[in-house]
Parts: sequence; structure tokens; C-alpha cells
Amino acid sequence: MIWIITIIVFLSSLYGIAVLERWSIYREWDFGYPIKVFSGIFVQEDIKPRKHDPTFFETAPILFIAAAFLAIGVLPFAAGVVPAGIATGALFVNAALAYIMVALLMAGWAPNGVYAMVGGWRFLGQLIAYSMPIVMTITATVMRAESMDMLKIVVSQAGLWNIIYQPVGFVLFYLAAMALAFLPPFDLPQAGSELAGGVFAEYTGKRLLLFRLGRLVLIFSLSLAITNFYLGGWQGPLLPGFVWTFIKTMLVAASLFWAGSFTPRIRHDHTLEWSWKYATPAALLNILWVGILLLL
Amino acid sequence: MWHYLLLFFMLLFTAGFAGCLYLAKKTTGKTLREPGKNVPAESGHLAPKTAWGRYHIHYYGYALMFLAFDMEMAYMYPWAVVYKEIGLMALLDMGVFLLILFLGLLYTWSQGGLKRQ
Amino acid sequence: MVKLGTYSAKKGKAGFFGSFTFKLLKIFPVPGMEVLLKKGFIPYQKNIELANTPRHANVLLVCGPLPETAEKAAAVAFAQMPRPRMLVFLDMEKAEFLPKPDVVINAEDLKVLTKKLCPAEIYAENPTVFQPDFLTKAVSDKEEDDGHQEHHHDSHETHEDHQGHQHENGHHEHEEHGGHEHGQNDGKQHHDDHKEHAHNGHDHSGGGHNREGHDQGDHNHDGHDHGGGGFMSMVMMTKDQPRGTDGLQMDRNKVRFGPFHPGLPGGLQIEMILAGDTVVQAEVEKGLFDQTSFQHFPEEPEDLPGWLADFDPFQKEMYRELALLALAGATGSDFNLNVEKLEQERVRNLFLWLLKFQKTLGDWEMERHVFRLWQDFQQNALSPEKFESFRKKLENRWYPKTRLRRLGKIPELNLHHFSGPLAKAAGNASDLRRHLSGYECFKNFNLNDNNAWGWLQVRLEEIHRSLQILNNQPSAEKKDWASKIQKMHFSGTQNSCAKLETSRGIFILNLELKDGKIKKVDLKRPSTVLSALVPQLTENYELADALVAIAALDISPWEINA
Repeated sequence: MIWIITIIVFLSSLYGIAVLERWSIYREWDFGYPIKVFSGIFVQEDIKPRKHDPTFFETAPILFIAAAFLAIGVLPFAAGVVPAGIATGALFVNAALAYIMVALLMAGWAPNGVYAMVGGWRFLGQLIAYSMPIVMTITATVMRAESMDMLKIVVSQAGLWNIIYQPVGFVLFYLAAMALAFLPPFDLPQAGSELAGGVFAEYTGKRLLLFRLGRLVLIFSLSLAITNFYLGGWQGPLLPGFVWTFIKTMLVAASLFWAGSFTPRIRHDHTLEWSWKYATPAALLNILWVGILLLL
Repeated sequence: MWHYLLLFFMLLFTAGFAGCLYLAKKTTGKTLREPGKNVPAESGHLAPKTAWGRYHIHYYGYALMFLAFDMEMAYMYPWAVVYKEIGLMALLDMGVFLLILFLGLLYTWSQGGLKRQ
Repeated sequence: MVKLGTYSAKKGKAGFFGSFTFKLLKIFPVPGMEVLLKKGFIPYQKNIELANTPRHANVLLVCGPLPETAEKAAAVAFAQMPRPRMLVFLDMEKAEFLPKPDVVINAEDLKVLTKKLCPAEIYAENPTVFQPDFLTKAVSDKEEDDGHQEHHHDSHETHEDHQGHQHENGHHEHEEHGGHEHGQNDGKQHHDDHKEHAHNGHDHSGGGHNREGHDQGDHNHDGHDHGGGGFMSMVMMTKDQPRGTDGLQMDRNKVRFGPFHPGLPGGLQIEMILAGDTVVQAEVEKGLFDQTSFQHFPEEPEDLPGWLADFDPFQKEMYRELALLALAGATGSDFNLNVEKLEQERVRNLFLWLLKFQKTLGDWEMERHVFRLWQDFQQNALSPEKFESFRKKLENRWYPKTRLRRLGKIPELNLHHFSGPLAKAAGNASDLRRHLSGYECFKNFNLNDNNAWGWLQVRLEEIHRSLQILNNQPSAEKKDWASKIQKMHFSGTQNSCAKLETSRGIFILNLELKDGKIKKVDLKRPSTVLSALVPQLTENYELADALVAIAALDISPWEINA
């Protein structure tokens, strides 16, 4: 029974995120949009570029959606409801999401076209930029909870949510999550106006469908991660845990789309520069801050 | 143990879902072979030459720093779990470690390693 | 119900999805978004999405009369679209290289595009293969070409015979083919080794897997599976390449950022040589849209404005006024410029440029904002104050300023060649409009910012000024230029040189008349100088910066000589 509710929350969040994505670019609410997109891409032909790399070409979409989906496996949906409650949940989220980078690199290399290749290599640069803030801020939340188990991390926020306890960590994790999910302004791999579709340019039909679905799942898993790490997960006054998770996840996803409207696309070199000069020291200071607070 | 098995099954499930999608796709018809269709698109031109080759990524300075810090983070995970128990000593121990690495970062910054090569 | 033609439909019968699949129109505009916007298209509608690449599109919207090279490029884009696809012609009846269109619409239909184009029947019994001659030839030419360099396609023909043996004797085959090809190409021994080993290096792990996966007879990939060579390092592979500025040898790729790129002005064709991420050389390829030749000018002075106006759909008024100014100057008669029309055209072009530029920068929010201003302007509801508030918003965005400031520095020596926003940004020029009638109290404005940010600021200031002029302008009475020409006296040899300044720079028209007939026409346009600047400007830039710099230059593909 609980699992049915979990699956309903999952699917409806995916649907909601697709509608939100359309809203963020075109500013109109179209509740039938996911179905239209799905059916449109579903009947498209599958084109395999000439001289492509077959292993990478076929594996990239599947790995992409699998990695995003795997990260959800350790995140709790409600009190005690987590698909796989392993003791190293916080670490596992990061490990699973690392394969997103592998999938995108594969997708960039496989079609044997310059647009895709440039997009893929740029995303690797972004990975080097966003990895450190993500890992360090997760460590800070782990410090508070004294355990890497996701359930314990959420429970440790019973008194005060992490967003107030570690605000710097929240900001860094949020920005790094935007870079991970290649949302604007970090949308280098599929830069519409620079690389004419970039990494996804040569994919059509069923593989493109997997990529787009995978992107929705990725955004969902990141929103759920932000909710669980910083916003207290399922905790809330009146409604049951599931509903709170759903509401918080949708709000975080909406804000992820909205937060990108402040600057144009940031070059990956600049992302790297700012991440290593400012974000990593800030994350280290965040750990210091949490360390001192915990001792008091 | 069961948890990891469940995660593995999630992986298989995703692959199976992709497989089912591919099968369902077969009902919508085959791809028609046409000249030029499978050549990578370059905004109005064909791009028939291979793009593979030696590629200069200009961020190798950052990549080296990433390697160093990633090793550090691997040590920080267990430290973070037992931090509250141990208290001040833990902070000081890890603080020294982080300080050394941080000085390394500052050194790289001063030597111009943190920019587009 | 639109029935897709046999060039556009998929093979089979309509099943579950049927006509619903075309509900969301993903439009790939040819030659670009600007032409569509000028005709009144609204990209932010329900059920419409602009696609970045033909592979993600299902509607190819071909607009207006296109010259031959552009049609060929459109045919290539059409060939690269996956089916089901729809070919829609706007203001155009038929094209030489494209098949019969599925729908033909005109400008009014653009507002109700979704109603006109959907629902669509996407399946057909006998779809025909779209194979225009030039495309088949180009594809097979390139395959032969690669055969000499990489000899995989040579081996394909012989591979098909050995299909049965392949699975056991990979090695054996390789030696055989190796010997076979080396016999053919002994002149390029080192080069062959180099290419062969390159592909070994890539695929030595996936050899067995590949063959199982692709029994459909898709021979293209088999070429990689020649296992058993040596492993060659990257350094050895690029031994013969020239060194870049940082001293490293890298593989170079020739890329085209062609006519229908979503980030460049529609119709502009750029060919770049990329070494990884940096641009080694970029140049504007000419002749896509400019089909005019100054040898065929009309003889009668009355025909001159009309003939000139056909050069560029975005600057019709300017060309007409320029022609009239030149004729008036030649015959010594008075001529008052139609300031309202000129300024409207200027603002329109600048807005279209700004929209495209925001898209190149990747700024969704500002792009939408500019589009709203554009719509207001089309309905004559844009006040200078509204624009001023937008301008403040744009200038306060914190990232573009730092990024654009580093781009686009023109060296001092070449500065005098330029006019228009580039020169004004460097503080080098005064606006021609100061000296023209109808533009009383026009003050110059100059900056000292010789970079792309300066160009942006100058253009924003120009829009602002033009809006103010349009506001203060009394609505002019309709001028009939044909009758004006009648009143001119043509006799003997008359020369004149007329100059007009547009948003891109100064146009200079030299006319020579003899006894009322035109003898010589010479037109200098600013985009030629701008496109000549591109190689120098983008050398060693990162790719994104290079594209932004080129987009910031505002080159018009209709003004570049073939």
C-alpha cells in the first residue's frame, strides 16, 4: 500500500516537473504538455548516425535514466518509507549521480559529430566544478546527524531544518544541483543556441525519449535530495509525510527552474573558476561552521 | 544485504523498462533509409567527417585539484559520522588535514593553475 | 486534416497514436527566426516550440523566396529530419530542391498555425525516399573521399563477402585487408597507419559486441573493428598536426555553423576550424543569400529604388530612400527623407538583433522580455520610458557585462574602416544622421568601450533615441516617390554619392547617370567589413565566446557579396 503511494508520488512529480519546465521557458501552463511531447517523440524515427560508436550510443540513454533512478532508491518519501535504507545513503546519492556524467560523456562521444563532442567535454568540466561543493555540503549534513543513513539525517532536523542551520551549505548544494541537472544557466551540454542541441542533437525517437524522461527523473531526484538534506524531508504539521514530501519537492523543482532566470548561460570555464575559487573554500568554511556549532 | 539487492533490482528494472519501451516502439514503424539522414546535422549542412581525435580540455589544472580533494573527501566521510562523539579533538585533527589541502589550493591559485589553460 | 505527403510520412497504418502526435509543433525555421518574427509569428504560443536542430523538429517552415544555395541547405535539413515530418511553405509556391509541400500558408495564417497544421495524418502506405541528386552525390562523394583516407569503406565491399567468416577470424581478416590496402596507398603509408591505429585505439574493447548488435546490415560501423593493430598514443596520432598557441598539437575539426543555426542570424554561414574547444580560424562563407550582381542594374531611374529594395527584405525602406537620395543628389533636386519609416525599420532590425543575441547568450528571461517589447513595438505601443526600464534591467545583469567586456576588441589600426555601432563604441565616429534633414537636434553619442559590451550599449542607446524621434515625429504625409522622380531633370553626365546610416553602419551608393540612363552603380555595405573582421576577432577564442562575438557583430547575410 505504502509503495503504491510512493509510486503515485513519483509519477505525479515527474508529470508536474515536465509541466513546470514548459512553464519556465514559455511562461504558459500547459497540463497536457508531457503527453504531447511523449507521443510526438514516440512516433519519431530512430536515426543512428553514420560511424557512431555503438556501445556508447546505445548505453548512454539507459545509463542516464538508470543512474537518476538509482539515486531515488535511497531517499526517503515519508517516515520510515525508503526503498533501500542502506547505512551509507548520503554517500550513495552522490555515487549514483556520478554516472550521469558518464552517460553524458558517452552521449557526447558516440554520435561522432563535433557539436555533441564539444557538449560532452564541457559537461565533464562542469562535473569537476560541481562535485566538490556537493560532496562537502553533504558531509556537513552527515556531521549533524552522526550517520549517513538518510532516515537519520531527516530525523536530525526535527528541531531546526538544515536550511537554517547551514545556510551556506544549502546555497552551495542548490547551485551544484542546478549544475548537475544541467539546468539553465548551466545548460551547456544541450545548449540550444550554441551547439544546436549539443549532446542530445543526434538522438531521436526512443533514445531521445529516454533522455528526456531521464532528465525529469534527475530533476526529481535532486529536488527530493534537497528536500531530505535541507528541508526536513517529510516533517510538517498537519498533513501526512507523503504529502509534505510531494509539496516540498515540487516547490524545490519550481524554484530550480525559476532560479535560472537571473543570468545568461555561464561558460564552463567560469563555472570551474568560481567553483574552485569561491565555492570550495565556502564549503570548507561551512564544515567548520557546522563543526563549531555541534560542539557548542 | 537486501537493500543492495533491491537497488540492483531497481537497476535491472530500469533496463527492463527501457527494453519494453524499445519493443513498444517497434509498433510505430520502421525507419526509412534515406541519403543524408544519418549524417550528423550541422545546422543546414552535412557533417560527414569523423569528429574523434585528440581534444584539448583546458581544465586539467582543476582536474588535478579535484583528484586531491576527492581523496580527502573519502577520508572525511567516516570522520563526519563520528564527529559529534569525539568532539573537539576531531575538529582539530581534521582541521589540520583540511588546512594543508587548503593551502595547496591557495598555492595552485597563486601559480595560475585555476584558470583556462 | 493535413495529410502528409509521401516524402514526409512514415510507413504503416495509423495505430494508437494517429493524429494526436502532431499536436505539439516543433518548428525548425528556415532561414531563421527573424524572418518569421517579421511576418508576425509568436513563438511563445501554446503547442508551439522552436526546435534547435532538424532532428528534434517535426515541422520545417520554409519562408519566403529563397535563392538556390539556401534551398539546398533547406533540402539538407529536410533530409535530416526524422519522419513524420511536415514541410510547410510560407509565401512560397514551390522550390526546386524540396518536394511538394504538405501545407502552403501565408502570413496571416501564422497566428493560427496550430489550427492549420494539426491534426495530421502521419502514416502513408508507400512513402517515397527523399533523394535529391545533389544530396546523394554529396553523401556518396564523401564516402569515397573517406575511403582513401581511412580505407574502411574499401574494406566494406570486401567485408560483405566475408560476412560469414568474420566472427571467428577477426585477426586474419585484418592482416588480409591491411595488406590489401597498403598495396593501394603506399604513398601515404604513415598516414594510413595513423588512421588505422586510431580506430583500433577507440574500439579494441567493443569488437565482439558490435557485430552481434548490428546484424541489420548496417555496415558503417564494421570499419572500426579491425582489432589486432598496435595501440597508438594520442601524441603519436597527432604528430603531424600544427601546434596551437599553447604549444600543443591537437586534432582539428572543420565545423560549419551554418545557415540555420539557432544562435546566429538566420542565413549566416560560418566555417570554423576548431581545435578542441578553441577556434583556430573562423570565417564567414559568402553567397548564401546575396544573389545580386551589380552588372544587371536597371537603366531607368524609376526602377532603381524598386530594384535596390529587393536586395534585403529587412531593409527595404532604407534602400529606397538611399536610391532616391542618390538620384536627388545627382540631379540637384531637393529630397526630404521619410524619417518615420527609416527609424521604424532601424528599431525593428535592432530588436530582431537583440532577440537573437539574447538567445545566443542563453538568456531565456531577457529573450522573453525583448519579445514582449517587440510585440509592443509592432502595435505602436512602445514608449521610450518602457524601453528605458528594460534597458536598466539588461545592463544590471551581472554576468554578461564581465563576459562581453573581454570580447571584441578591434585593434586601433583597423578602427577607421568601421562605422556604425562598432565605431561609436570605440569613440571613433559621429552619426551621419546629424547632417541629414529631418533629424534636427540629433546629438551624437560616443562611448569608450571598444568591446562587445560597448556595441550592445550603443545599440540600446540607438533604439532609445529612435523611439524618442518616432514619438516626436508628426505623422508624415504619404510621399509618392515615383512622382518625385518624374520631377527630376536628367541631362548630361551626373554623378552622386549618397550615404545613409543604418543600425549596422554606413551605406554608400555611387551613381553615374548619363542622359537620364544609369551607367554605373556601386554600393558599399557595412556587413562586408564586419564579415572580414570575423577571422581576426575570433582567433583563439573559446567556442562559446566566438559565437557570441559573431552574433554581436550583427552581420546581415543579405549584405555579403557572393
